[in-house]
Amino acid sequence: MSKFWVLLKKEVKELLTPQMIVPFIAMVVVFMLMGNIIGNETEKQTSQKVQIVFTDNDKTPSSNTIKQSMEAAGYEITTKSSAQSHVVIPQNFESDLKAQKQPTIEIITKLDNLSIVNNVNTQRTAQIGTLINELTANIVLQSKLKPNDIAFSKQPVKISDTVKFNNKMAQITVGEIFGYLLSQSTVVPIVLFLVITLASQLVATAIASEKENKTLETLLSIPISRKSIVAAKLMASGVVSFFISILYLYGMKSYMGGLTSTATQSLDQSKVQEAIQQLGLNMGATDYALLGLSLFLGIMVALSFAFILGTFVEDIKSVQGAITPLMVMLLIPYVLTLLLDISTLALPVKMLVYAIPFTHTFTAMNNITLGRFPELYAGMAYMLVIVIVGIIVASKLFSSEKIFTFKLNFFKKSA
Amino acid sequence: MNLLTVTDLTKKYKDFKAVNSISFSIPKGEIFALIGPNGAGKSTTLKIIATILQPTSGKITLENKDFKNMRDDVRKMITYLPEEAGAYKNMKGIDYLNFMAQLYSTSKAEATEAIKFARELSDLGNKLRDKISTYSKGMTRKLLLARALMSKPKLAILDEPTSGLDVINALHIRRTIKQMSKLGMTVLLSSHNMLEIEFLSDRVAIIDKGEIIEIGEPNELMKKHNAKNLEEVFSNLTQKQNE
Ligand SMILES: Nc1ncnc2c1ncn2[C@@H]1O[C@H](COP(=O)(O)OP(=O)(O)OP(=O)(O)O)[C@@H](O)[C@H]1O
Ligand SMILES: [Mg+2]
Repeated sequence: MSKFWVLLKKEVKELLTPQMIVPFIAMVVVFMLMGNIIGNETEKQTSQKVQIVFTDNDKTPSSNTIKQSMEAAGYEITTKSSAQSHVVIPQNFESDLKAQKQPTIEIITKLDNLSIVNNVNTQRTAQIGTLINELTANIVLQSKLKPNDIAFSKQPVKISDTVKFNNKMAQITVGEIFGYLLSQSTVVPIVLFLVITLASQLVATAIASEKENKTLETLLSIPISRKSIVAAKLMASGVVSFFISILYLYGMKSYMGGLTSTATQSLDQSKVQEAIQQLGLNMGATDYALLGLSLFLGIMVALSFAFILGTFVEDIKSVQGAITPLMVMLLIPYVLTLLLDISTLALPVKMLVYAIPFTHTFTAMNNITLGRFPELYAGMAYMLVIVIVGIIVASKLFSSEKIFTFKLNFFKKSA
Repeated sequence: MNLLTVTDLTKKYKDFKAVNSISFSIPKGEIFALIGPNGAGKSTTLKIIATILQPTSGKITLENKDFKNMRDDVRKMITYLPEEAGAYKNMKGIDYLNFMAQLYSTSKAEATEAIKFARELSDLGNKLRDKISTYSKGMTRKLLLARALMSKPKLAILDEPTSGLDVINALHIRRTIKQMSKLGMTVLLSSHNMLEIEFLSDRVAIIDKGEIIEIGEPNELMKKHNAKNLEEVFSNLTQKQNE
């Protein structure tokens, strides 16, 4: 038994190396930080009242009751144009109710952005229709009107939902639009994350394995320019990760397809498509090209950074630890863009997140659909600069002897 | 006419002087050997001449090409066999030779010629069709040696070329090196095998603690130090150094 303990102790010691602990701690810290940011953002959003512009074309006690009850329910009635929703009560509201004819109430909702947390309010605006229906039902019941139709008393109004985006309108609910866009804008970041992670692992491993297998010295004595060696490694990793990610995408598509087909069965898919078109939220060929370009830049940034980190690594085992900084840089914008609209963050946080080159790849999809082209191009230009600097540094490192003499000592110190 | 000239070469790793102001030159066609105890600075010197490391100070020229600014030209004239080297494990032996031949040659005919030569040299026969991951240490060494010699470089830098080889294979390699030097190839090598040095080298430099403490033809050195063989010269000199 004592021998077993000796063995066990050795195994645990082998496992708990700084190479494996440091990445974990880094990840925990990052998640704690992001939890903070997201928590703040959610609080900011939920503490705000949903603003509604209330147009009363009826001006009867009934329509006034609706207005007051909505205020009592926590909505802010305003005339500001920035309000998220616009409710229109038709002229013959009360008389229609009396005649037991369903009046049609129009609700126009503005779509601002496509992130989950920022749309907490969008979710609440989606409930306006239900609320108005309930309130009207109360009026009908409390009044002397004796509804002879149970169905009418349950559903006394018709709701007409309109979504407004960039001054374009479409007859559809916010929920439907949002569901559609979300299914799209969650797949893309997952693929981005996978491709970029894969590319960086490949290129760092490519260098580490040259060192581990002792082929690097021979390679560097061959009469080919160091630039060609760097370029070949970067390109190979880029191309391989691209093809693997297409495979992923293929698998993901059928997976997501399986999910959405059950979730949206009740929805009229063609109706949503038509609305998306009307709102100008669909992506054209140029949009896809821009998205592709942004992804390409993201991959290039990752490759050049991973290359730099890879030159410090001595064996394949240490690759994972060495590219942790890159993973952290990738994880932050990945999670944040999935949940928030980064452009709404507080300035210092925003600058910090924008400084991470990958942020611009993750926001590309939203920037394209929302038509924020200046932001998109600025992000791409920034990434391009980073790529150029990264590649220059990478080939400098590779051309110098540092690749042999530099070591990631802080990993080794305690070991 | 000297092919390689090394003048006041010094290499520091941080504060440690691994090579301390050494100078030597090698005429064309000569086999020049560096010998010395472990950690003396032999491999460091060879790595610098192979353009893998940069000297801290000193001047090196190969056929009048200065290492400072003409590394790319230098690399075309040399091959380097590191002391501890591997080959790409997923390749077959023959693929490795093919790959290297393409990188070294300027024409298809030249590459084919080099591969043919390397196949003979490696003496691996049908094993060349196996993956390198299945090779023994000696087999890998033979493959790498064949690689280093196949392009018939002006200067071959061989760090302990026969280490890990059995007697027969080592003999075969030595003969090949000698033959090629007769045809005009210059060789700079290091070794711990004194018999090998006596057989192979035209001149030796004994290096200790980064400094050359003796240089000359093996016979000359034996005479001068009144020794029966090179081993005695070596142990006399390096022990004196340590006192
Ligand atoms: N990358 C490095 N960083 C720091 N010191 C180094 C490095 N490489 C070598 N050294 C030191 O330089 C000295 C010379 O090493 P070198 O490898 O040249 O010796 P050598 O003569 O080839 O020895 P051996 O016969 O054992 O192969 C040694 O003391 C070694 O510790
Ligand atoms: Mg050595």
